[in-house]
Amino acid sequence: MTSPASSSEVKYLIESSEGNTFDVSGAALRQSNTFNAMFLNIGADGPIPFTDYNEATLKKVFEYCEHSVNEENYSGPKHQDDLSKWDLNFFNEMDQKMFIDVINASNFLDIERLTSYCCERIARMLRGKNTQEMIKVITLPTAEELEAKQKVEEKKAAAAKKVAEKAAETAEKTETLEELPVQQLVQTTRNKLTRKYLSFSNE
Amino acid sequence: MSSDFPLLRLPEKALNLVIQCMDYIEIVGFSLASNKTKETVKSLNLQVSPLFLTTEEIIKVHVQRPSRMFWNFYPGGENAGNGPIPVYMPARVTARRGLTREILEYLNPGYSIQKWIDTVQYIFPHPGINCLVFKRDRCKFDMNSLMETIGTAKVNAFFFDDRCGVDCAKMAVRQFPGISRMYARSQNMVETSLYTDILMQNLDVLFLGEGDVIMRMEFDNLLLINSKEIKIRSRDITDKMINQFLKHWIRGSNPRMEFTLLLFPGGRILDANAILRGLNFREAPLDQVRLFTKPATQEPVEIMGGYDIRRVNGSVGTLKIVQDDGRGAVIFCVWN
Repeated sequence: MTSPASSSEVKYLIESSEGNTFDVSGAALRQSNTFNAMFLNIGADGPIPFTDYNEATLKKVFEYCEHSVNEENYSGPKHQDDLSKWDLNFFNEMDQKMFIDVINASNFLDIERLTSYCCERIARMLRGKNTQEMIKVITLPTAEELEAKQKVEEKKAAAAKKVAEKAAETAEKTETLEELPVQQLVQTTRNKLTRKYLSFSNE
Repeated sequence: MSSDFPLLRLPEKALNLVIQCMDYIEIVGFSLASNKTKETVKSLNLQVSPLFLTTEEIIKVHVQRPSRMFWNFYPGGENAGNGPIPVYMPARVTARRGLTREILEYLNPGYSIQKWIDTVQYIFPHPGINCLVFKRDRCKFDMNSLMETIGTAKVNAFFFDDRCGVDCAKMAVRQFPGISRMYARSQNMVETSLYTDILMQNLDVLFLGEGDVIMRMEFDNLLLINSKEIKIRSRDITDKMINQFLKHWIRGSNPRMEFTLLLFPGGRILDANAILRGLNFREAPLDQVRLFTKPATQEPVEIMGGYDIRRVNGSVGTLKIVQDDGRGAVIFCVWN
């Protein structure tokens, strides 16, 4: 379900792992390649389920996206020294757990700019360190942990599949419009065109 | 956010991005941390080349591309001495990138030099050690031990540098058969008659002399050379010697030779008439430019004009005499 917040902006509802929903602007969401691939052209009926990530993490991620809406197109990693004060504050105010959650969510949503800045920040932690010093910084996983990680990856893949299925379901609904009664079809088409118009006018 | 960071639990794409943000010195250090880190780096298919392994007082490794990196392996006190000594377990390793003063130091890293080389060979799909460099009069390290350290990595070239002695060079050639390139620029190797057995090797590239290192070369030794691509820096090669050399070539000597460059330091004026005396040649017009590709290094050479000489087997070689600002050079290339 999309809800126009203003005449020039489309808002989407995002659902977190707690089942809570919140609004994110289409402009911010378009920074997510995952969203673009699944929902941009067909829209979404109901909240978009990013239920592998909690509300705080998703809000943090989309806070970054909202902030960088007007920045020029992403063109590769930026050196940390070139980050704006806002960017630095954004990263500095996160604790390690939140930082990791943000990387994971950003990676899933395929937000190139945010993922890349996070990764550059991690590489910076290892800069100028020899192997022993790196081992102190990074936690080397045990065999059990590696196995558990594989299971998590599988679970994530299943979640991604679920999201894709939801998108496909929405697409299917769009394709079967002609089966609807004429009046309902007119109304649905009108809604869709309005949404597209609002979406374009925002670009 | 500075310790216990679960780096390897990041999603694969993010982990790869982190590694791509690191420089190569750090990437090598990172890959030594565990099998998982090593495999992760390998999967990125990063490239380095060429790789030099230098034996001096200590063993050094350096890589030129994508950026210059140097690793120095220092022995502990118990490994000090004149040698030949076995290749030691490093007590200290330093890593430096480019010309920076910033040095990354490893104290008692617990990794042998062999493990270091194996790791670099493994994580960067590298064809081998491009150049094994010898700098001391006598190699400080026992050659068998050096071979073990290099392991299965293929050595492509020798670089006899600085004060490398003839015996050291000969021993290296005996221990590492199958080397295709040899560069001699050691002050202790200017007397080429002392290592005719090396001159006779079927090499792809043989460079004798560079800069201040000017080789002594007798005519008979010139005929012994059996490499494809030859460069000799010498004052001893006279016009008459070149003339005789070409006459021997016509009759079948130096059968593998495809490109020769003779450099004459010290303001030598070449006499074309003396060089060509008694030869049956065809002079190519000066505005005729032919492109020759060196057989081993694949470097292109523009041949403008020159003198074409036909061999008894029908192949044609072009002689080009270059006289530029008092410096003389002779180029001879054989067209296939």
